[in-house]
Amino acid sequence: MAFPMNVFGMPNFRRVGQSTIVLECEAPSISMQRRLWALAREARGRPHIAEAVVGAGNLTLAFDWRAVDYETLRGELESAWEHTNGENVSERTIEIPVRYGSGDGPDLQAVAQACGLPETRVIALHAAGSYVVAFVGFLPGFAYLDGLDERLHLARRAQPRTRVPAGSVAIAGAQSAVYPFDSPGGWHVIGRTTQRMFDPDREPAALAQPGDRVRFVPV
Amino acid sequence: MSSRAIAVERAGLQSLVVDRGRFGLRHQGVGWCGAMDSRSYAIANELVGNAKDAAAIEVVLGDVILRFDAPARFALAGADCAAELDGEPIAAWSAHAAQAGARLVLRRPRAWMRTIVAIDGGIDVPLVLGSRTTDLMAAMGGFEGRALRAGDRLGLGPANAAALHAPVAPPRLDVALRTIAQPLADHLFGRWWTIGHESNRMGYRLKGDATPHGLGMMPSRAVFPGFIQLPPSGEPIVLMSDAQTTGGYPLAGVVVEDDVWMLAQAPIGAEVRFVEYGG
Repeated sequence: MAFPMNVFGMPNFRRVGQSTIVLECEAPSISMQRRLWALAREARGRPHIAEAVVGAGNLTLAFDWRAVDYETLRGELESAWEHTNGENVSERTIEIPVRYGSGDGPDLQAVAQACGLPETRVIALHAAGSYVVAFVGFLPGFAYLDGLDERLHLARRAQPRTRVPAGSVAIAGAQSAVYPFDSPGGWHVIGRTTQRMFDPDREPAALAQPGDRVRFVPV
Repeated sequence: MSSRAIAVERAGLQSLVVDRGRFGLRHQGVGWCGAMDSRSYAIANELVGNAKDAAAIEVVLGDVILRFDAPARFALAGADCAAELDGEPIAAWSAHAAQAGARLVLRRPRAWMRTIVAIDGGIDVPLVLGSRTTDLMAAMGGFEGRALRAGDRLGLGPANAAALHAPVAPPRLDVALRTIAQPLADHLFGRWWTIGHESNRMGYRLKGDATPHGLGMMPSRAVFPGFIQLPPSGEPIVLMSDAQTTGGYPLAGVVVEDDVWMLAQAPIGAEVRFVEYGG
């Protein structure tokens, strides 16, 4: 898709349905993602904004369309974008202990085979990565982690599982993640953690927030 | 603990404590999980003089027995379950008064899927992240984060003094859902779709004369109840109350907010269609 280039790297704005506005970056990058996190945080404090959800190179705001005019909101967001930089996001590092392989990581062997690497090498590469939380979605506390070693990039499982246990550490595409709850899932499960990724009694409830760094520590 | 309570004697297929929803946390992956039939939920609370966000019980396909420990007033909205209060038939879409010890019986409805039972004062369960609604995936909110079971005892909030509202006429259920077109709308409009068996509170999976597409996955982005996703098979998934917060399937349309409740009331196997909404 071709969009006119903009010197400010202005995202494309689009209304989806009655009550959401989507900002999409045509050339996603970590610096664009940082600006999206920062703009999302700022937008949550605005009146008539119900939700501000960052995705992969995009931001969606749910707004009260009966109370605020779309074009007005769009104008405000365009000017907010120009004043947003992503310098002040979290630089926290979260360590997640992982038991790799066998019953805890039923796909480790298949991943090793598909990548043409010994299992020990898959574990070493996964644990050596310095990951960044790109966004949180899908399930409560499910953090999409950028930074997976290129040698471990694989398409999702051809047959998704109907039940992936809570705490499963998994990879798919260029990302890694931890399943916070028992749920269906199509990622390759290579290990498991006892770390609680989501706890409604904690503030914030999701352990990993956008911008946090994550390291996996074999135990 | 409040002293007024109701006891669940028969829990039915899936009865949940619900409210409008858990808002403002989709960026942490937390879904709304509000009443599937938001319209009946609002009507039932109004009938009994409750606050707009009072927690109520949403029942699927009836087959429920509740016993009131103390005098209470309640209202029924949604699927007509030929309800009886202590053996006496009572009307749907209206409010009633129950004596201490009274039993409310809901039978399997002939039409529609879900019935809201709102009780004055609301169901008194703890607020979790700002809402009393049940999130089944995260096992939080509602009554212990799960569907009700026989033997559960639910506390009630303080009785309100509001006069009972007069019965209302049921809203009309129209299976032509007004929908705002999205890029793959051609795959959606102009044909009938059947509600598939795998449909649930997260999404309604539709079967029919589907046209596959080759677009594959898009970069993940936020999705909401009412969004219609189109997997490569071309068989639409309409996201519902418990929908996940992000997704990567391309969109075919967005059902207008006022119409989503109608899909929640259409049973498995029913036929629906989408009509373009331009406004």
